[in-house]
Amino acid sequence: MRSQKGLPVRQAGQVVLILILVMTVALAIGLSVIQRSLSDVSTSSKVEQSSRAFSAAEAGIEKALSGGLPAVINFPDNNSSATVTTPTTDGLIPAIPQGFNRQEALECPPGDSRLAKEDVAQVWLADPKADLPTCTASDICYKQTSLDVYWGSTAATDKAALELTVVYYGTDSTDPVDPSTTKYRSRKWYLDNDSAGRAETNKFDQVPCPGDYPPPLTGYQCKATIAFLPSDLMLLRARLLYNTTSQPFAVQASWPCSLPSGCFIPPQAKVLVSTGTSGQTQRKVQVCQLEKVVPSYFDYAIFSEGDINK
Amino acid sequence: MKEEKGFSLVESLLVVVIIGSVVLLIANIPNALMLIAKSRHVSLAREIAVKQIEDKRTINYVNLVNDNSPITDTRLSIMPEGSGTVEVTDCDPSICTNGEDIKQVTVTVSWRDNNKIQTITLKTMIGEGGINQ
Repeated sequence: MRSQKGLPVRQAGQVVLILILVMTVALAIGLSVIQRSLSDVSTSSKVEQSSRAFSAAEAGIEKALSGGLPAVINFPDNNSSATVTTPTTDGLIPAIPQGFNRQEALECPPGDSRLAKEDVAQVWLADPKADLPTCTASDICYKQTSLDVYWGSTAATDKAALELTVVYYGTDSTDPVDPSTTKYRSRKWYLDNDSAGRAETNKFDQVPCPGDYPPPLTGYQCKATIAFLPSDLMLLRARLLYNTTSQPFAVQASWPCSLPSGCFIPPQAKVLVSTGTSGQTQRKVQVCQLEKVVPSYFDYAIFSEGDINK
Repeated sequence: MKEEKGFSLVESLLVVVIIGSVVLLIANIPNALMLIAKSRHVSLAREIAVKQIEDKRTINYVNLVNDNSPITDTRLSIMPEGSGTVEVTDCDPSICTNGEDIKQVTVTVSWRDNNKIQTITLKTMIGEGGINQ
């Protein structure tokens, strides 16, 4: 640019301004690259530590499942360790209550209490640690003649029905063939939500389902008390019918109980929590150790003491 | 007043600061890019190692024999000189004090970054009647 006289005009400062602008942009780009590299390194090292902690936690669970508690794992060359504990004193669920109080409800299956359509939940009514079918005085076996069951979720629109199978070891006066022999037998209950309107078609026992039960069973839709249970109870199997979503199922010992023993459902599982540590990172793994589980085909198999002839 | 030629102190200082920061940035960017590559390799190595452990967990305990074999994973070729081993050994008696039926699995993945051998090691245990068994 020139003045009217043709002399050059000083443009002091403009180059500096442009230079500063360019520098600022370059600085921003450069700093963002450095920032990203630092955060990447930090994240990847934390993720690696987390994997080491998780592997150690799993190792702790394996040790506790095989050898019981206390289980402590230490891999000094890998800078990881794990300790296994139980969330309560003995970690058993359902716990036998302190003093003579009603037992907390057991949500089944332990750890994940939702049953998909036609999934089966199993509850031991005889102590799974006992030498069955005999239940000795030291075993915890359920001996009451009634039991409370809860099923279905108030949040679900599909109204589930419940099929209950009680397996017991005894006699059955209603058996037309062999009423007096003491052997493994089963008895079934079919319960349905009375608002589902299926009574005419399925002939199930209709149960009013108002919901609104006291905690921790707040979200349950239906409750029924199954009565006239036989003696020498072994196990209870429950299956939800008509549901399309997974819904919860729970059982609870009846109360009040006047028996000298047998008021409580035996512990079904043991909860183990393994805490793996590596550096500053901790990972927890929780498992439910079940005592004994009958195979999935149990409900569909034919059991016979002798040969089966077609 | 006579106009003076040359640069003032502030101007020259400004130039020095600007050139200094540019040099610093340019010197750091390759380093930063290398760190990004390194962290990508660490993440990949971790994923390969975790996959190996998960594969071992699907094997029935009776078929889990003591072994030290190289890892075959196509993702190893992404890393420079990527290699790895899976080692199955009996549980260290100092950990399994009661002689439990447990195998110790050690997965090591190594690669070269910045002319240095980098290694990731994951250790876990698989027991009879344990998780997935």
